[in-house]
Amino acid sequence: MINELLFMNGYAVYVLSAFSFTLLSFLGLYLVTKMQFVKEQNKFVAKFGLLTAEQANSAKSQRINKEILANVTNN
Amino acid sequence: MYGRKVKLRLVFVVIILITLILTTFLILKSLEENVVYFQSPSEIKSLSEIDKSKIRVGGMVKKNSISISSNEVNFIITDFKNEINVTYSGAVPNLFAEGKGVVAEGFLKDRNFFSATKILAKHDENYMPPEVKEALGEK
Amino acid sequence: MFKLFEPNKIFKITSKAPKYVLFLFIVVLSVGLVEALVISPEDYKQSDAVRIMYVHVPAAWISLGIFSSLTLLSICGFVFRNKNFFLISKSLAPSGFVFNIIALVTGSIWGKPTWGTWWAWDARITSMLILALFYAMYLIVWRIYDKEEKVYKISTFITILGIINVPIIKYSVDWWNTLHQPASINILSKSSIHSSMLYPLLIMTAAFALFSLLIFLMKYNTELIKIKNKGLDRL
Repeated sequence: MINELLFMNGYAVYVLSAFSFTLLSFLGLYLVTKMQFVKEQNKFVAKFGLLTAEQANSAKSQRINKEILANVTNN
Repeated sequence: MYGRKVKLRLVFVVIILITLILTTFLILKSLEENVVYFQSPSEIKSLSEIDKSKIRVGGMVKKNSISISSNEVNFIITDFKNEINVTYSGAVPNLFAEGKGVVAEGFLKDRNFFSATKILAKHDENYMPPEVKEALGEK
Repeated sequence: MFKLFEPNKIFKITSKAPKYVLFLFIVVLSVGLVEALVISPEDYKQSDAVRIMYVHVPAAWISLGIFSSLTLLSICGFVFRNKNFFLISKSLAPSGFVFNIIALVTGSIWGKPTWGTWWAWDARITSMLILALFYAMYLIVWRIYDKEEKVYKISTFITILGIINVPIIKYSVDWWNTLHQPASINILSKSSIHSSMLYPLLIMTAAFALFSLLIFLMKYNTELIKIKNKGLDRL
């Protein structure tokens, strides 16, 4: 049964290489996108740490900034 | 509701689109002969002169026309109006069968004989499991 | 109307969504893979090679769909001068490009055992390759110009040029003699694909669409944080 499944009437090489190419491309794109996201997020946190108290407060008044910081601490 | 500039930009985009569509249409129309991947036997029959360069002929493999002798395959490509005889030596793809689509690449000997250097099987748009095919065949 | 979609209002959702979309994607993909590789029957003619269709066709559909969205969004962004449209468009492009490449590569892997050739310069395949080039141009433009205004204009122009190619891809198999088979699935008329093969195809399409959504959300969030980063510099 398993052998039959893996043999696929001789088409296994083609079928499995097509599927693995697809899944590997998915993984690659996901990792690259994730990396870019984390890099940008870390940059934001680092910059935020350099702000004076007054600047930090005014930055926090923007909704998105608050969200970004909240997400970082959550992760 | 929207400003004059917005409308102008919209008109601008629409004009670009129309221009491009028309241009592409004209180019494709004039290139038609080169866009087609293969010619049908009827088109070969109506050729005014036989081209010596490599061409592709496509259609159905006529029923009961395949004959395999030593290392040569002979068969007939038909589009149900005209036919052309093909000779080919070499391995044929798995899906090559009588009553199925085929594209042969090679040279015309005359309007009725074609010597192929490569055979491609053309698949149709029907997908079904073997049992369903059998059931259909019984009808 | 566009105010509803302003980054300020939707970031709360887009920043939380990827987790759930990723989970859903993995579930649907697993079901789809089992359906496509194990449960679905072989084809009467192509035998098991038909299984390649379950990744090839959804990838092609989605890459065409995403390119059409890129064009629509870019034109809207250009006409209404709304930056957010360009950001959405930019974030959609990478997964569209990857799907286009997947369609080309898996198509080539399918062509070898069935047609008997890896590649044919047939109208469908060539026009799909041209679409990949348009995707590549679009992605590169965002990287080579620093001036945003310039990028907006050039990228809009590229999508308008490329969109002409989309109906050509769709109808190439009907207009000309091509090696590629005509469409099996028709919205208006009867589809020429058996239902036992249609379900895995639809499940895989759903999985691929979820993956595009996931990459889009992550990319969009990255872009928003990038903008906020510039905002911090200005303080």
